[in-house]
Amino acid sequence: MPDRTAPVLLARRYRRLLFCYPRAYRKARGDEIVGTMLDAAPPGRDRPTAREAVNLVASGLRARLGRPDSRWVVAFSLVTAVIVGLFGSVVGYRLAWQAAARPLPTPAAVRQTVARIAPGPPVGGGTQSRDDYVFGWSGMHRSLPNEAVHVLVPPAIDDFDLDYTPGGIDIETYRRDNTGLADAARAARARLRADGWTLGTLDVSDDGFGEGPTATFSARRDGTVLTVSMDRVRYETLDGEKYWTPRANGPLLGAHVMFGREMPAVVPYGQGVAGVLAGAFGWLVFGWFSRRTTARTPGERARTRIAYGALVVSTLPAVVLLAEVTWYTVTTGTPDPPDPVYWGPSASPIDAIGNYRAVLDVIGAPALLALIVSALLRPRRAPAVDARRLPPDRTAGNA
Amino acid sequence: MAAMREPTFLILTALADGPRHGYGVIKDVSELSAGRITLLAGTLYTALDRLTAEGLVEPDHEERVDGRLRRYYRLTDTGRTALAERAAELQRAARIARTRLRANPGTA
Repeated sequence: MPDRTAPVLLARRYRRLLFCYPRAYRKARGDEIVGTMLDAAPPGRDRPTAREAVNLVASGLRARLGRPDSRWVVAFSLVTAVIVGLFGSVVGYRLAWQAAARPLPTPAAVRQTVARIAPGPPVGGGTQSRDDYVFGWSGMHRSLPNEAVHVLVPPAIDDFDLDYTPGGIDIETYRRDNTGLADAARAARARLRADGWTLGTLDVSDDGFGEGPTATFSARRDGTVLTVSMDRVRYETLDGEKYWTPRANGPLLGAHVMFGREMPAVVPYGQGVAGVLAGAFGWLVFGWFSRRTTARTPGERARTRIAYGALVVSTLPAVVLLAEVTWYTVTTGTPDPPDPVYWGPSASPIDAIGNYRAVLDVIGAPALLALIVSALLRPRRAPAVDARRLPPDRTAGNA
Repeated sequence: MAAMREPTFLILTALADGPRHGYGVIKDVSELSAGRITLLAGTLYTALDRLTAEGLVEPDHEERVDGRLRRYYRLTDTGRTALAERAAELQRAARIARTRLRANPGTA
């Protein structure tokens, strides 16, 4: 029958709380700490007080960071957790998108929707493009594993002409239609509404460059977002070539319709959960490195600091962009940053890493390698606190 | 090294007259501070780790009492010096405070 007397129960419970300490520390000092706590506990107590529990957990977490005489190690561990958390949140963001994204409308459905927006008979000269991936490089039908490889190892293609974008369908069409622009847009909206689309506001504005007004609006249905812009168009010759050019009283109706995916509701959660998990992992790994490199000569400690500093600095450009994008997503609840041209809508988190690959490769990777080597090397001098190296037990009576 | 804070000063003071184990330090610090400072074990061992890393304290010996492990710590020479310096600083500050209070007894 297990011993259920108060000191035994209390000892067991204290020991459980020691699990916040690193294993080696627990082995070396666990008995001693529990002994002291039992000595200090009033008789009859069989469970730790809340204060004791919080104190042991906090002290255990501090012990995980090593460098007991450092005033900065806690701050740096948190910086590391935030950086790794941000990188992790990108992976969560991307995986959640990938898992929850619905297919884009079929070509038949696209034709049907475009005909509801601009019902007149089409004339030639329209364009259309379609990228079914969730995110990727337009025209390159890369799957997620290829993309991960692209981010992790030097890319096989590094072509600045290729934009990393969310998948979508882009249709430009010109129709014979005499309806005035505003009326045409209102009629298109009425037909879409009848089809079950939820419409954003209609904006008809003229930027004053002589191209006449443009009508724009968005619509949403079943996870698909439509972005529509319409204008009157004339087929004009410019510099000897013929172009479809927006003109206030052009004979044709031009419609530019983009089909995209709405951000699945699960994405911010995926992003958040992955961020927190990655942050905790980063913190633990930082602690492991720090403990492994605590008992070193001053020269070795300086080298470790330089390598760590270089690693953090190499991540900063990407981290700043990731933080901005994350902040935007969290505060507005939308994935698309304000300036899609500059940011690359929705794609920017993972793109941020891609954009700064060079600095990560040239500075970050060698610094990380140096840290790993330094952590795996055997310490040249024994840790300052190492109970296993205590003098032999001289037993009672020396106090 | 940063200025020595009061709990550190009291822990070093507790070890000044000979090695003590963890609970011995906790009891002594509590008495020295007239009950104001009750160290919890987590805090004490975090502090002992730091002081050991700074070379002010080192493990002395260990014993087992009622199956409980007691490890004793003692001041190093550096620790004695640091404690003496801090004590002198505090004494100087206290002397100045008392002198000024005597010179200007106030009306309150």
